[in-house]
Amino acid sequence: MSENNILHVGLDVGSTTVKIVVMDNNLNTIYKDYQRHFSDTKNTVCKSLENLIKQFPNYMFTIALTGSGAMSASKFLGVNFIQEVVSCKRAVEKYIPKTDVVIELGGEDAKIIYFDKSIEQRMNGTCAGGTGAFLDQMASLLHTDTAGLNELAKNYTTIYPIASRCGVFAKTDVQPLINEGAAKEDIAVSIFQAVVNQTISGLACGRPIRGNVAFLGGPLNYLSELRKRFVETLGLKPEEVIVPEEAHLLVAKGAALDSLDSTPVTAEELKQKIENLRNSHDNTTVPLEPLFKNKEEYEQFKERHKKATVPKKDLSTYKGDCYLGIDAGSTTTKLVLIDNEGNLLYSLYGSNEGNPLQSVMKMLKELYSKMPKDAKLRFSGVTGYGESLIQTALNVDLNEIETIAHFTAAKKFEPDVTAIIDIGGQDMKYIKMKNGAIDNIMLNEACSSGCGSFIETFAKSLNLEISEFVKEALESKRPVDLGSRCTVFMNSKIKQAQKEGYSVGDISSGLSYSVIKNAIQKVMKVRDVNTLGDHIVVQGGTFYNDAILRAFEKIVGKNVVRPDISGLMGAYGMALLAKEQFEANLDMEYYSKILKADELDKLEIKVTFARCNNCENHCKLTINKFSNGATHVSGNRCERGAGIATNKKNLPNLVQYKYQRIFDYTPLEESEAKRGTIGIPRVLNMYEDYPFWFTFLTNLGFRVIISDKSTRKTYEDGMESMPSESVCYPAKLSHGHIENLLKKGIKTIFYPCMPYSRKEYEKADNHYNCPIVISYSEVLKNNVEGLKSKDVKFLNPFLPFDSKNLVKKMLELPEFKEYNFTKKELEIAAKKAEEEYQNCKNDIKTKGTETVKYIEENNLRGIVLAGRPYHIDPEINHGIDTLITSLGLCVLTEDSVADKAEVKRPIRVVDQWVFHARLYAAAEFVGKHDNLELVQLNSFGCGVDAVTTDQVEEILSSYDKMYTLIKIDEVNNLGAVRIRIRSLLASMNKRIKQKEDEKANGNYEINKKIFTKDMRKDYTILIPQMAPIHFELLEAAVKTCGYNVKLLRECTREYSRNRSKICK
Amino acid sequence: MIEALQSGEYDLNKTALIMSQTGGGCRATNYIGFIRKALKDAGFENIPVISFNVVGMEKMPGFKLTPELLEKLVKCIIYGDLLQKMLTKNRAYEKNKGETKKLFDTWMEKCKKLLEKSTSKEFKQSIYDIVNDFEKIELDTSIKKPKVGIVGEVLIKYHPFGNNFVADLLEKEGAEVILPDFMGFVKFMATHKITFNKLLNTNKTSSKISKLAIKLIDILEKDLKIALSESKKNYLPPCDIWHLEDKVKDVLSIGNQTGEGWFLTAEMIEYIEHDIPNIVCVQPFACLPNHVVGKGVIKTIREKYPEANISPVDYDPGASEANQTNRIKLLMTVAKDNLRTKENEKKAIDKENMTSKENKENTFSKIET
Repeated sequence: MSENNILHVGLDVGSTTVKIVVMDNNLNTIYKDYQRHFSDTKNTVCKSLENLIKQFPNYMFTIALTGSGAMSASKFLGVNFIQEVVSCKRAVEKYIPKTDVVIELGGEDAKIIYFDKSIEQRMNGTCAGGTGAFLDQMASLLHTDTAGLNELAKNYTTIYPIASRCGVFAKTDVQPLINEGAAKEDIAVSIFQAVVNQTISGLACGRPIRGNVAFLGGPLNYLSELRKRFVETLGLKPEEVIVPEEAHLLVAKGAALDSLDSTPVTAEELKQKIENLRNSHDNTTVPLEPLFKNKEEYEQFKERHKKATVPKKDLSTYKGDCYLGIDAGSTTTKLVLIDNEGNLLYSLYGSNEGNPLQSVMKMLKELYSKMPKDAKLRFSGVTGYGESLIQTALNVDLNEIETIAHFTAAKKFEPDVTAIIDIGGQDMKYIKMKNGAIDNIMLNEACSSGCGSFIETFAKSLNLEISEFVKEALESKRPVDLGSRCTVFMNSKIKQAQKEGYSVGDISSGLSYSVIKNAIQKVMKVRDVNTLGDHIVVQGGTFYNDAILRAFEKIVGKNVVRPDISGLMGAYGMALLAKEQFEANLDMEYYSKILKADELDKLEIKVTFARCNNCENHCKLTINKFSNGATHVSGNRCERGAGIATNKKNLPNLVQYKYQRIFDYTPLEESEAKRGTIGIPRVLNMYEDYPFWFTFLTNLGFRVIISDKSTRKTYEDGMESMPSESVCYPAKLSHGHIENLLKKGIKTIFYPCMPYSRKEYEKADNHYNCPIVISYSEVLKNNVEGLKSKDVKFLNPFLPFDSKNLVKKMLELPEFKEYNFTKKELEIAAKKAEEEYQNCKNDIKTKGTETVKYIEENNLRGIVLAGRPYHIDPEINHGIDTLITSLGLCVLTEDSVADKAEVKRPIRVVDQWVFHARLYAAAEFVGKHDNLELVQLNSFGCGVDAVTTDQVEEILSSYDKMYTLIKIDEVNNLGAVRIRIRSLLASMNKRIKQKEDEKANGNYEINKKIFTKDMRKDYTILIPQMAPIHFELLEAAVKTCGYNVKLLRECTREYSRNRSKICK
Repeated sequence: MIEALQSGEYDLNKTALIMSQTGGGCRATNYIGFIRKALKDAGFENIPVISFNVVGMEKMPGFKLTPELLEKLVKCIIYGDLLQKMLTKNRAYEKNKGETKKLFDTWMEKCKKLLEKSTSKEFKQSIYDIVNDFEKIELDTSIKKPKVGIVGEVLIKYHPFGNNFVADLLEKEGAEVILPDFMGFVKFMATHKITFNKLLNTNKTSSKISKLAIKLIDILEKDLKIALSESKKNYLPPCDIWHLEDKVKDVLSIGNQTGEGWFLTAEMIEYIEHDIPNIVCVQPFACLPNHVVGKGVIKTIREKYPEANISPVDYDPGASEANQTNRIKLLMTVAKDNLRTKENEKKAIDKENMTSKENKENTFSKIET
């Protein structure tokens, strides 16, 4: 057959469609087709290929498959599979070679590909935000399709903010807009904007999208308005926008191009291959275990859960004291009334319709109307999202953080509770307990895939009541495995399952499994379900669903407790806390101050909006003024905004003090600086060493300029030169600081590499800096373009940090030759620098002593905010220090107390970093002080901190102290942090109450088991596998030297998994 | 390891663990602490943990680095490096599938015996024997494969479980894989004290000892170098640490010694200079030095060596395997494209030479007739 008879075929099997492109020998496209596969990729691929043969019966074909769904098809077909990004590269190089960035949206995936020297692809993993599926779902809310959405968006006037992170959240934003009667046009365009935001913030993660941008994939091809949103948001010029013809086929074309070199097959051969594929079996749909094996099991299950019941009493005949608990959640409001014994008298549950205050008032009125005269309301408490607003408005006696309320309620059902899992419609909480205190809290912030609302929506779409839907699930014999991706994606899987003959019950039970899997893996981020402990309490409205409850038990492999008031636990806990507080006050004259029915009627609320001008954030404040004189401010990120209404007195904040102390130096005037100006970036170890270098260089006659304070902008300015995504935020910020210095026109920048820090503890093993602190300036040298310019001098030699050797080195190094330093002047400068360095350290220590004393004298409490020196940068710690003072606590730094305690050595870890040694000492100090707690800050991606976190926890828990670790990165979210610090506070209160108990001794030293000479005779020594070839030999060699060693060859994935736990 | 202890295979009263400790400012030094915690958590507190290191940390009376053991360890590494080279090179091109592995297994057993007891003469001879035996494996020279070198964190680069079988994947994708010599890392470790003495004026004696150690290793490696250079199969020779140190200075300071330090950068340069332009740089999650000496230098290396095709890959058991595979496949696509372009260029040149030669010959023959 001649070459002219060969055609080149590319098949792109995407998440929703199959695209086929055929090229002739001159690479002209002569045939193309595009079909939705409705999750039946196999038959759709077969059909496409059969059509191909029908069209071109007398040809031979070279074929390549690409796309997310092509992997198994290509295997059974026996043709080449190529990675999507490769086929995309092929096509882009051929058709649109000037492309710099590709943005591709598909049915279930979203991608950005950067065409740089090395191609980089970023794609969404399991989240549906910003994909075609998301658009479909949103369009259905407006009773249209995506094309309709596009038409609507053409005539918009306003863009509303819509949560882009998650489809479920977006729905919550869209629904009120529809209800309020916002124009459909505006909603449509807002949905597009949400997709754009998700793509840019979620996928690009800050890497700039610039240059020529090509838009690929179905949605971007068909939806002109979506494209327009991208172009406007990215600020692209018209010539930078590339919309290739047949953008949706481009990837298939790439595959066709890539197939050129493969061996052609005849139509006959291809027919055979199609048969092979058709007869193949994908074992992907193995059903899961049924929720219940048989009727008895279900009966037992029902019996078991009946036990977790709160006793009830009739309110209408009740006489005596009662206590009120209110849980003002973000979407629902709950209200509970209990008596002296904790019996439930009355409860209410309802949606808050977007206004928590109004709905609480409504419920209160309802309660008052039912309360008999002889029932006396003694005390009231409020918790939840709207707690402070409601407390101020309605004079509620007590407020408490929701975790504590939940914990209190859970304890009533399971005294030794180890984990509380609360799943609501779209909110989820996981509270991990340890030794009766809250150890960790996880909230769903960006994903609601593990929440209950999806099941309800789905039941509705089948026109089933939720109860019926659940009933079917419980009886299902083969629940379908729907995986654990975003629930938005599950729609297509469900359709496929229906086609394969699964019943409604199979799907419903499968969904229950998926919801729980999502909850555990994505929100709770639990890898090993054993960490949940043996006493698990589940609650929240979603767990009323028996199928979900059972799925949870199945997955964790344990029976759990679900209280019968599962949805009211927050309010119930609050009522218990109110009762506790009343009893503790011992004031029998007291009656709850909460507004009475007539007062509720009279309450007027004036809402005004304002901008806080206390810092660059300019938070938007909502100010509620009540007719009872109270004011409530919300929307503020820190206490400064709230300060408009409430004035907290100035508590000591050593983080702020230290920041000032380290950097508050005045440089020489230009006229005084005989050696010119030198710049120092305000980064990493400079938060420790700046006083030294400033003094040293100033005394040498330099005008020392430090880069400006870090802001988000600093980070963005340096983004382009960052070579590594996974390095810690403090390191990332340093790029921006260098840019800042360059922008100031500074031509000489001093930022040395410092392998060692000072040894502060005699008994510590060594005194290294962390690898990033040592030599991040090397990264800057190699990656920041501006530093390579000829007129800029970047001084970053490795330098010793003791005066004597420093002087010697400075005289030797060629970098410093031009300055002609004399030995004498260097010595003087170094001496002064050393003095100032010590002064600064002493000042911080003294301040620490003062603060500890102040705390004691004023009966206050304090938190040691422990971390690395640069964690005092407000851009890095996101203002956690001011958050703490706003809660009425003093803030200390680790180095302000580290000199006041001696760590009991030897400790378990190798103690060779100075900053770490301080942490251990600070923990020891905190362990011995009742009025102090420690919160450790940990930058995400910090490998060496994995060493410290466990050790600090060990020290603290040996003193029965709660350990709080806060991971921080560039994402600024204080919501969960606030909850955790308040929980810490609550556990502190509790401990002080129980002070009479015996004190923990603080025993954490390690007894290293010694390998003695005797052991050598009959001990087996295990060697972990590290390099298969070398260690095989090593085992033999060591054996011959008289050791009985054994190489762990089988040490497999489990080992690496264990190791990864370590690495985090 | 914990798993092994729990398996019940070992008498827990008679079992110890050994862990290597690098002793630098890298968290690898602290793995031993993690293991101790894991042991404690699993209730195996009584199991002694032996630290294996050459800097004298954590002394254990029952375990000593005797000269005999040290010598054997060095030999181990020499054999290991050599066998590794033989395996990857020959397996990539062998005509008879499976032949290389068979020979490799035979030699592995022989080497173990030789490690038990062998004179220096026998050791020397074995080196030549290995190279010669593998020389006999017939290679298919018509296959053109891109060469791909692996660099990265020391545990991850060799350990197939740590790197999701990156070497296997690369071979499957049609690469000739080059794994780094372990000895290079040893030599690099030995330079630490020398460098810090130079840069920071630290202790002089330890600097001298280190220099001596490197010299000794060089002597032991002499025969290896000769044997490899005599082979026609173009193996990568053992590295010259001083040469590398010199080379790397243009990119970063040799003060970068934490973890793999400047050696990682040097290995990349070494590969590129030996016509291995494709490099996978493996990095475990949150390994800090790699940010500096791995990802941090790629830009500069590309500027210096435009043919370099380097792909950093993050390995973390939680990371998406698809992402890792994607990166490697991309690297391979570029590698193959580059190789093809190069081959075509070469062919074009050859052809030109040929035609010019033919033309000449033609002219000659014309003259003759």
